[in-house]
Amino acid sequence: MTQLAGTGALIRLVLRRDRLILPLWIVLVTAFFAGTASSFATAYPTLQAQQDFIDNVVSNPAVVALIGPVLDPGVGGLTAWRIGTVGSVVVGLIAILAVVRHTRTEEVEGRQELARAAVVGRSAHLTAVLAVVGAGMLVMAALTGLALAAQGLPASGAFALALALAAVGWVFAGVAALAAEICSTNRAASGVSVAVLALAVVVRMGADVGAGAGPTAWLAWLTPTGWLQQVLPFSEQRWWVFLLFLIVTAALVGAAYAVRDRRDIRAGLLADRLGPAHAGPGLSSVFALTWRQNRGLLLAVVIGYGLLGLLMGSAAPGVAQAGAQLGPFLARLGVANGAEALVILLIYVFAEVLAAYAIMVTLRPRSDETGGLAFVLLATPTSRTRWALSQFVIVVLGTAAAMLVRGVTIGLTYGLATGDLAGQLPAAVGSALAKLPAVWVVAGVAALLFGLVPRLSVALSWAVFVIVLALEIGWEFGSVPDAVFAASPFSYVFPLSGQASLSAVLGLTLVAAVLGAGGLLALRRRDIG
Amino acid sequence: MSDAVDVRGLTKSFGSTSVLSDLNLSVGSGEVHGFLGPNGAGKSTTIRVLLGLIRPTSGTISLLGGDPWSDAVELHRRIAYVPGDVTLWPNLTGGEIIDLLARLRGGLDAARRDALIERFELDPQKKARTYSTGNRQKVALVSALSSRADLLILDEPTSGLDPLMERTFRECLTEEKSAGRTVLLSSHILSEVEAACDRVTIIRKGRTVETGTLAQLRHLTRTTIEAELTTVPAQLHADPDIHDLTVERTTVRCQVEPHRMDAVLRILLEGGVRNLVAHPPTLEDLFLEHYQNAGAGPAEAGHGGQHSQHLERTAR
Ligand SMILES: Nc1ncnc2c1ncn2[C@@H]1O[C@H](COP(=O)(O)OP(=O)(O)OP(=O)(O)O)[C@@H](O)[C@H]1O
Ligand SMILES: [Mg+2]
Repeated sequence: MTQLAGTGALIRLVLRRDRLILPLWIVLVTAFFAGTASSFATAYPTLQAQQDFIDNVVSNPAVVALIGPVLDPGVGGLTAWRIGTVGSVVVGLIAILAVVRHTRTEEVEGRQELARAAVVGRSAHLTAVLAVVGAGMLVMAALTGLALAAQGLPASGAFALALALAAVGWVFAGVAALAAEICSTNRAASGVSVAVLALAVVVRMGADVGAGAGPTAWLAWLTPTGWLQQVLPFSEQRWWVFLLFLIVTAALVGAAYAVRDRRDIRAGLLADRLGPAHAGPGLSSVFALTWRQNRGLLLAVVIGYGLLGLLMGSAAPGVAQAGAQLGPFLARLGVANGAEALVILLIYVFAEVLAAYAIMVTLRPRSDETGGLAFVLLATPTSRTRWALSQFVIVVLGTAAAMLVRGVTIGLTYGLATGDLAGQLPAAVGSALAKLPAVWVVAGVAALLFGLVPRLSVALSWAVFVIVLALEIGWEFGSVPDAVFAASPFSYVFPLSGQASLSAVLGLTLVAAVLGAGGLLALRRRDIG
Repeated sequence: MSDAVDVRGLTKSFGSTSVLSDLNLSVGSGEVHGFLGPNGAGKSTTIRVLLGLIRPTSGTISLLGGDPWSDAVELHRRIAYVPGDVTLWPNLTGGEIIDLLARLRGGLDAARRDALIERFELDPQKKARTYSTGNRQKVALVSALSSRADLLILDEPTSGLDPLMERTFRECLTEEKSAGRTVLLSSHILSEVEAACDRVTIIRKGRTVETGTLAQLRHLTRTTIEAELTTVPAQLHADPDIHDLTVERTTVRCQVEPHRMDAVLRILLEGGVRNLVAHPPTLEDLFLEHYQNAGAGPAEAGHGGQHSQHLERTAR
């Protein structure tokens, strides 16, 4: 028990530090879930309308693979279907960011040592943040359940769905807790956790390639996003699935505590090795330094995108064989079959996800600023512009590399599988690259915020990301009109709006450049620190 | 020769909090200048203004003949800086960081780099995240001292060093001085300041309260007198130049302002002096006097304040 001494005080500290962001996330997430349900209820008020929607849109294997099959009847079923994967990602990200921020980041920045010297046990920090995140998820679940029930959904189903979302949050809190114990930097810990989250989604997609009944359906049992579906909140209500969530969370958290007991403060699981006593000839400019600091994450993203591309490109033809009738959906996309639609949509969705990477990298100078590295660097003859620009170059090239690799791998595998390499490869690459300017606009907004309002830049940039996702989903289901969706840069490169026109691509690139330049100008005029 | 640093009437506010108000600082070329003041006085903030990291609210500042805000990049070729709280790139080794910073500055003296690493007993192969506080400071120090910069700006560079390393640092400082480099040294370690600095500036609450050589500062601070007398003259109690008087039978102890020494000694002689000890203020007395009196600006700070005004007019 002495290991937990001080947990209460630390819980209050976590709540104090997150007093704005925590309620904000809970409200945003709840509103997002409730909004989805209400847009279904208005768009498809009758059972017949709901069935038509399912027949026309959700029977499309591309959509099934992306989002999953509709497993339950009624508006409840549609809501559970639509928010399952996106909700898991959002809730998972919140849990990961919160846990890493209050464990490894505290430790890396030396504050944990300060606290631990007081009457604070070894495991108090970990316990405090897990308690806050765990309880926060429950509050979110309670509010979401109430909001869904208020819209006329069966109450027990509403709460089962909401609780399942909370449970996904718990699992990823556990993942982040373990990663934060094993990795010696907070960046690595978040990186590993986000990678696990991405993998969880991809495995769920793999499970649903056969529309929930294919040979890979068992994969759903390997991932928290899959369990969320399997709760079947509006039909069978399998409460026993929650046991899975609990066991896995307990195992992850238990492992985190075990590692914590065995390692020293500030250390990871692996000891640091000695390095070179002199800098290599390459390490002689800000750009070289920035590359050195960013290459790990960048390579991970590019390799991840490549692997996913290979996987999905080869799985896609199976979708065509699972053989769906061509809904009007495909006609709108202007493609011949479900497989091609899947390829196109996957490229689009992963471009949107890449915006998260772009924000993270764009804002890296901000953490250098708060951490004090910027003082060291900017006291040399390095201009602020060069400093930030070197980072922006990484954003542009890194996202470009990821999308290029994605286009090539998915085009290659899909082209080989369908025997149409000459047609598919250039199409996939072109389609992938055409999405880049939209990613850059999001990064540009983050850059501008970094220049203008450094203290708020992190929170606001992520809010922009969430808004972009919310606009997307709202628009797809008709609750967000075209005119509002036009606020999202992705609306201009959405496959449904025809091939991204050259003018859209150039226009977005120009907007991104202007935003980035605005950020640099603002950075030159403000105080550092 | 023009001053390396010349700051006049510097003010800086962050939003509504005013951190620096009417700060003056001048450092002559080739001078080692101590920059002192209580915690939160504004030393690091002033240094950040000098480095062009933050923008002054008002005041005129000249640094090596340029403007620190608009000529930052050019000036930084001639400046090396050791921050008060050294943060380093956690995944680079100390050696890599020293080389990188040198290349960014445009060159280093490789022989001096290796010699300094040796003298400071730094292991350049360790990753920065595994360095102790003192070792991080050594990395920054070796980087600054091995540079070819004209001006070294050191913000409490020895706060994490052990006494042995601190001595090494003092030796280095002496070498820098004889090599003609200008050094602005912010420090709380008085013996370090006494050993190395030609002149000092003391600030409090963002305002310069004293500046001058240590001898000048000493001269303006009361001397302590202890005397054993035959009889204690009644005049002693009445004299306005005598401070903190204690009388224990025939032993008298008091403080006297240096320019009134002559008059006070005459009074004592009247009592018949059997034994007399006079000692100038220790450095600690000197600083404590300036660091205390919190709340009073220099104008109304009584004793210390009057001197500071006097000194600012006469010192340079
Ligand atoms: N960005 C900022 N916003 C608001 N206040 C600030 C900011 N930076 C510094 N301050 C305040 O300015 C004052 C001076 O700080 P500074 O770091 O310059 O002190 P210092 O003389 O270096 O002290 P120390 O000896 O403790 O290092 C402090 O009260 C500090 O809180
Ligand atoms: Mg300071």
